[in-house]
Amino acid sequence: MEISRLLLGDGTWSQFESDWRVQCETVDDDFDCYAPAPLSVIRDFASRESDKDWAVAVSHGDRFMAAACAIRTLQKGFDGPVLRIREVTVCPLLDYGNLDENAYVDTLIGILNGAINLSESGLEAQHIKLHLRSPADAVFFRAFGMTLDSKRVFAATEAHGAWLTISKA
Amino acid sequence: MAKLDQAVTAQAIAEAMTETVHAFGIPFVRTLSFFPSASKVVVAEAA
Repeated sequence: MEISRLLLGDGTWSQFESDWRVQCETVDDDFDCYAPAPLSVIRDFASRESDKDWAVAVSHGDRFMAAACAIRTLQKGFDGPVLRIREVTVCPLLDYGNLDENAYVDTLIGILNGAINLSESGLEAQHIKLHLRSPADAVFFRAFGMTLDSKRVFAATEAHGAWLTISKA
Repeated sequence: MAKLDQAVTAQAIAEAMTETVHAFGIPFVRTLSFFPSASKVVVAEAA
């Protein structure tokens, strides 16, 4: 899987939207009603030519598996830039259970590895923060963070409040 | 800014995520906010 930027101006948003419209038809949903709140924010980011606020998507071949907002910023209490990942939304086929179980794991891995890759190239940052929007997110990513932290490849990984924070050094 | 060894970090993330998903199970993963249907279930249950 790879992560890439979505822009209205270069046709990448259209490719993304076309794919998810077809996916919605496959599962008897309507793209215009699919995750309207996060997708409206992501689309707004796709309209910006900003060098720090990006709409991004994780894809596998021609299929877009997830989309999100990626924001590079400075934040009090952090040494160096922070990359925030927000509004993560998975594709209709995954949401409706039309893909096998490996697709769930692979997509979550793709989102996190994609964020790390962005922080190395494109939206360079010393820290990566993943927004946790629900209690289930907090429970799941707290456990993930502890497991990842035990592998000692990052300086620190911690889930606190509404964020999972990965610090590279 | 020092560059990461992305092969190493990707492997660690893959292992940690695989372990976590197996520990929680796919039904729990489907309740994460990343899944639009998770919020529909909450709304339906509340109604």
